[in-house]
Amino acid sequence: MKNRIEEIRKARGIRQEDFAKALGVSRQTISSLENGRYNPSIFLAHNIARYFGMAIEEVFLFEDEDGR
Amino acid sequence: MKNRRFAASILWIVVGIGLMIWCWLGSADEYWNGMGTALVVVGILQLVRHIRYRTDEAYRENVDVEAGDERNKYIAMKAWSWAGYLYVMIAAVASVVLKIAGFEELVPLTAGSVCLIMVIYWLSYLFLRKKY
Repeated sequence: MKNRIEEIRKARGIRQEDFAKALGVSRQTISSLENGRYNPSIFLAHNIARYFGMAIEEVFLFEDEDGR
Repeated sequence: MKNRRFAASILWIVVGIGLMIWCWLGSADEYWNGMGTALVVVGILQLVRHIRYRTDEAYRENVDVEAGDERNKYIAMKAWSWAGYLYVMIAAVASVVLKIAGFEELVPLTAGSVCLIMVIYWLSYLFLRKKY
């Protein structure tokens, strides 16, 4: 699952450390999310979207196995 | 939860010292002395961490974040899963190697441990299937 976390975070000038602190997770988790190495739980995805004031599907790009 | 950890660390130290004294009195062998020393070391380390958690705010914040971090929990579960798989593979190979090398008395231990871990896996699977 791809996401736009890094793009949105940088556009808003938020540091990874501050973003992590606001969400109650480690900075490494934010880094892994941005690199696509880790997919968040529905709760964390919800919290991230809410932090940005956006809908989940605007932050996370859901694609099926064929990439559609 | 935190107080339980504090109590546990005190318990490890007390039991460890007890085992060491038991050994020094000549009632037990070196195995129990080693076990006692290990318990005392673990207890002291836990106690130091607990005291630091109570007194160092930055450390406490860091520990709380690490403990609640969902990626850390995922990694910990994954590591246990890998440990189980690797143990089964290593023990299975070891039992064949030991059999070929003629260490017949060790084969039931390694092969038995593979069977035991498979039984534990299936019991855990059945329990978790009911739970979720």
